[in-house]
Amino acid sequence: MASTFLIVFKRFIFLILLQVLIFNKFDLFGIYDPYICLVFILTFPVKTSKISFMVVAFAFGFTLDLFSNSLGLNTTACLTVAFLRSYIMSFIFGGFFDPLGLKLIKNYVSDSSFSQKILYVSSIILIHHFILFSLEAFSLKHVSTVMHKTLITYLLSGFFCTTLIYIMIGNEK
Amino acid sequence: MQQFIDFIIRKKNVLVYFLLLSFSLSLIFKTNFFQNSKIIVFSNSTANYFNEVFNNLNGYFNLKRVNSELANENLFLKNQLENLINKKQLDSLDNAIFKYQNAKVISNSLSSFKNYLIIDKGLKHGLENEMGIISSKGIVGIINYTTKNYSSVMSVLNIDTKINAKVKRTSHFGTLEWDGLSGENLLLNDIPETAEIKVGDSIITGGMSLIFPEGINIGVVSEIIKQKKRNDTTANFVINNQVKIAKIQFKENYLNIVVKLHTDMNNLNIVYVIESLNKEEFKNIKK
Repeated sequence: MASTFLIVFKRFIFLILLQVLIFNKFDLFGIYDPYICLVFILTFPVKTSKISFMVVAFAFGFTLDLFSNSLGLNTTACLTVAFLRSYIMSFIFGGFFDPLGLKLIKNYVSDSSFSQKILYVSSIILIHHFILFSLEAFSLKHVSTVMHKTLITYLLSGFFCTTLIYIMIGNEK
Repeated sequence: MQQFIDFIIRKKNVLVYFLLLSFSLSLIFKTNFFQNSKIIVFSNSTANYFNEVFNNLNGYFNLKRVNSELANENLFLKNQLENLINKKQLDSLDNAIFKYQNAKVISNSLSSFKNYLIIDKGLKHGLENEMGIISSKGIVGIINYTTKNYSSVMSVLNIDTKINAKVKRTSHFGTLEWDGLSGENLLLNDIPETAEIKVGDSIITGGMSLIFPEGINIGVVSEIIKQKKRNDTTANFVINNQVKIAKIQFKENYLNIVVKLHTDMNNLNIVYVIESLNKEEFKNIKK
């Protein structure tokens, strides 16, 4: 248990710093930033209880918001994705998913098929971005703009998150 | 009662989710409507501190560029001053209407729909809401919230910003807005089709408010899109002592003009705050 706590704590600090200091200043075409912080939610240990997962995701989003002057936006998006993750995993991985968490994220990466990996990463990133951007714009006038931005940012985040997961997962215990 | 407790235990995940969700949503709406809640002040002061430290480190890498920009601006202003002195003697009785102050940008967001900048001057230096911010090349934004040491500036790259602007050559007025999809283009709306706008025309501030003085550079026209807008109005007719309502349609064509900004919003470092000295007087007469 202690080691899980330590891993989560390390990733928390590392990903917040990575997002705030480097990726928030990425600005492709002037305005598009990848959200690499989603790696935290994607690779959160499965065996922790859902309530503690949601509380940690809430704190994660809140810390992110403090640094980007957007109070509440990242918090809502991260919290919702954390809540939905177990449903998404059981839907995508099917019988392979075990809610008790005997399998590590490493096993999911090595044992699942290519399309399952893509679906898992894409669905979480798309839901997060859609919630984030639509809350930010907060008007029906800008629906098409929100969709446009969600798609472009999804491509960016998807690329960087997948790369980082492959780097990180090599030394997971 | 037993069933109720069972229900809560069964649905505890969902309940915790909605509890946290309501808290985070209340944060969003508090930020939008009550800018001076305690959480905001705390979050701003902590985040500003970190941003300032990081910005100080980062600032060294930009020194060369900032230096050359300042030298260019100096040269431009010196030439202007020379022209002015040649034209007439400077008269101290000529009252200035606007006063300028410089400030440093310590954080600058670009990736959201409602972008804000934070600058390192606040109430202590006499800054207030609704003061304009410009860079050496063009407009940057409008102050929307000030604390003791910092101010938050609503950038022109914000879907809520509306700025009065005009075409320099033809003097047609319009409203500048941002469409949220490009980091360097704004849209100028409400210009009638009859105006003969060409690609390459300069767009400057209109001077209809005391936020920006007239004639500050904004950008150049890079694309013109024709848009048909139909106005429906109803009119009453009296025929044989009966009132009849008829719909009248008339077409009026407007241009949507894409304006490329002079200011590079990615690389902002030193900005100027414009303070209007006649603000009180203007407010009184507007009442």
